[in-house]
Amino acid sequence: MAVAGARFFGGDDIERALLKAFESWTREDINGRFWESEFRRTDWPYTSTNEGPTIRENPGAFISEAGSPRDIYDYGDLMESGIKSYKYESSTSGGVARWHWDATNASGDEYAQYVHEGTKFISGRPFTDRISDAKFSFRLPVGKALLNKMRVALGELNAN
Amino acid sequence: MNITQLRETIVELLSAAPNLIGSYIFPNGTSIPAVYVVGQKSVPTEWKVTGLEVTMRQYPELLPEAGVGIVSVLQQWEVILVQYNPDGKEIADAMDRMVRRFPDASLRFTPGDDIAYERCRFIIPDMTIRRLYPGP
Repeated sequence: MAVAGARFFGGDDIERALLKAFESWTREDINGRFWESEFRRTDWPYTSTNEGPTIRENPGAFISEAGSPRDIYDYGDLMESGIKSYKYESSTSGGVARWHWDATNASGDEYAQYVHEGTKFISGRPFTDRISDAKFSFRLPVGKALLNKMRVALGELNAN
Repeated sequence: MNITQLRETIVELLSAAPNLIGSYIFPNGTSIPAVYVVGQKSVPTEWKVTGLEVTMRQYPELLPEAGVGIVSVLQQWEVILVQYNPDGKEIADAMDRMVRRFPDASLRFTPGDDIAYERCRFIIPDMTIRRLYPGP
């Protein structure tokens, strides 16, 4: 038996590499792609106890009557508010990415919570679930993207 | 676990004394426990709800991972508790029972206001190992 070679890096190097991968994932995969794909998903179940169909206000909408399931893009205001608010903070204890969905309706009130969790009349469409602890999994495409980034980051340690 | 088992488990859990589950009241005045499996249809709008409502999605989200001759499937079930009467406290007791029955569930509590009822959404993970289809 022969061992061709083996290296073990210091914990600090590994931690820095993983944090770099995590930051890149939040910026490129989550903020750069994931949010738009979630908002444009057309399979959000939508139930409403209000009578009558929803007529989209956006005159450019391909189909004016919104049924169920449907996307949650609308004008893109809510999605954009989250993307623009992206903030990454790193510290000695790790890294944190934050988003604040602060788009407001015609009354000037933030409405992200009502889209996410629903109202007295409308079902919720929890667009952050797949990257929060609610449903995040390394089996999801977005989870696999994080794993890949971490593998690459650790591989770079080995190459240098 | 399938939806029948999930429904039975939750009904047993939340209807044990003291019963926490509210009622659906039909237009003719009769009522049934407010437990509904949301599939192709959601709760009929003509049903009035009182107390704590429990809804659950008929199908879980499936996250498969291939193995050798098998597939491990992570099923994510969604259960939603909604407190229809603002002065009711059943949801607090129901959340307590749920987290003790499903300790690996994640939950989202949303306080009520003029626009939304007080609610709590549970995501319950359920891992199963299945043979590849068609199997031997």
